[in-house]
Amino acid sequence: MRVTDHPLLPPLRRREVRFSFEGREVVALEGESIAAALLASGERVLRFHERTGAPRGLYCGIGHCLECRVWVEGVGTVRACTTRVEDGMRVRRAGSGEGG
Amino acid sequence: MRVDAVVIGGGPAGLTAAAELARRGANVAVLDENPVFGGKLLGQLHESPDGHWWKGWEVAEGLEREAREAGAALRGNASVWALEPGWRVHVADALNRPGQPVVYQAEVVLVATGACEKPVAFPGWTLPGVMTVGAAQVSTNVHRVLPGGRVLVAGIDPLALTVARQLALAGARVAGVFLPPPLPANGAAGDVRSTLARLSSLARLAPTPWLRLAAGALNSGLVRELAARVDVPGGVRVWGVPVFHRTALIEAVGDGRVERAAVAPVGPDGEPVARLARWVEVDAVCLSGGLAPLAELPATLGCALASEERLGGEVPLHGPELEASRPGVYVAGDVTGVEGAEVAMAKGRLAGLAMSRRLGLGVTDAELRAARDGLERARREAKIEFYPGAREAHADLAARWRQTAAAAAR
Amino acid sequence: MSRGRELVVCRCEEVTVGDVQDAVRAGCRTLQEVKMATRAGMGPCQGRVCRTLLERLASLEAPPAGAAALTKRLPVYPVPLGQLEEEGQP
Repeated sequence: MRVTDHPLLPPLRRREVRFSFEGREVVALEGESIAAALLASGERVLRFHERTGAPRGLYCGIGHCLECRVWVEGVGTVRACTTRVEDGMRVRRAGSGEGG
Repeated sequence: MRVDAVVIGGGPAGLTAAAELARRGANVAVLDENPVFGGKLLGQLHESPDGHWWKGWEVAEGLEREAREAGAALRGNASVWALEPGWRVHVADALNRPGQPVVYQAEVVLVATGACEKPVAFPGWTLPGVMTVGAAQVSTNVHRVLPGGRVLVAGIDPLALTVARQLALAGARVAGVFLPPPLPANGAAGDVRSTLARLSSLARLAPTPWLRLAAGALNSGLVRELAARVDVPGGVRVWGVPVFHRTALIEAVGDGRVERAAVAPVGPDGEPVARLARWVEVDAVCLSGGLAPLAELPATLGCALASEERLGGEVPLHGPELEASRPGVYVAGDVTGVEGAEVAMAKGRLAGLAMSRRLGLGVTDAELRAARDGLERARREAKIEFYPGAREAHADLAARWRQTAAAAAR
Repeated sequence: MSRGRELVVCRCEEVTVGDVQDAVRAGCRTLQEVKMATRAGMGPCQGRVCRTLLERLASLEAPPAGAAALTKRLPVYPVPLGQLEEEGQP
């Protein structure tokens, strides 16, 4: 859920950004982190643990825990919490399909 | 790439120091792993006792502008992975872009890497939807996305209560603020009495009538004991959010994501009463285990560290001008003890001046004295005391520094 | 409600309370030895998240383990190979 009306934060007026996650299109707002954009679209599972397969999502949110790592085509492994979405970005869960 | 000074961390301490250095003519590079500058300021929102709302991102904008106008070079998406004698700062571009400098050579380095959240472990804590209060704050106030529609906060401390309030302001339904899971692995965070003692430190931050009355009284050990035995059905309202100071989070469950959480009242012995446990429907659980200084780079460099619970954990031992135990390395901000943004800025100013003097850029004794006084003042006027006893802790650290320096001189 | 040995303490490597207790009981005297035996603290976050949990757990064993803290190693964050310094770079 996006925070569009807030008594103290400035009104949310950001350009739309379109990227894909695991092959499906996600509409985000400029400046959002990949993790936030996915959360807003209802996706909390960012990764499956490499050994146990347990689903994992955002934990520390500030780049320390590395739980949120995802694979961005043409870039490599990034932290979803500190990486901003960009038009045309192709994001996959680390370890699924190519790369990771 | 050769520069005069590298500042690791573009938060309030780092940006303030960089502005000081650049104003005096130093060639400064500020490195931050985020795409934007301001560090933890970006998500912060506090109401002062006079009703004025302090917005961290506005302060951050000002600090960034000052640093840039002074001539500091600010580089984002820069992940510092090593600091070596020389001083050589090794950087990886977080977006893996080619052509960026991978190492900086500097005469002086400031480590202003801030703090990280300590974990709160319990069955189900690895489920998607369980995150730290810091993650919840950034998600809500910076990215403008709620961590969930119905949120449970575990941990009763100034940061947890502040974030719970921010979540409610942003439109989330906050099921309540509960005690953290009282497991041995969670240490003091799961201890009821010490939690209530920390609540008293909220006295200086826009208290509710209950807190105004209770804050001073909480300092009295006797009242603390009584409070530990009193439960209030429906929770004590702090900033409109129910706080269940006698009920602890026990477990989170769900299919691939958190869907509900179990809470149980805690007996006078600190143990949860399992037969009285109940389920709360939530889609996010936000944990507060306290903040610890992130002193890995000074540690790998062999800088002396001191373990200080009153400052959150291991802190690089530093002198009165924020010099660490390796010459040319300075420390500022929450990495020297979690004390909030205002103190961080004052430390940044002092470190910036001290580093400028080391670079031979004409800093007077009077300027340094004023910066040290400014730091003392910021400490006295701090709005939130994250850990009681920060001032005493710093006095102890200063004594240890003098002892170390005296020993070295012999 | 399980609160015991199955609790994960190292998120990166999914090391549990039980794994840590077993390591100490099998003879690990320091956190560094626990890390070597269980992999706790060796994952991508390099112990940033789990170190306080490990310290507390180890100190609760009888006899307590852990006098020497986890050593911190470089790099503190993972580095893509292409971003390492080349020979002769200024």
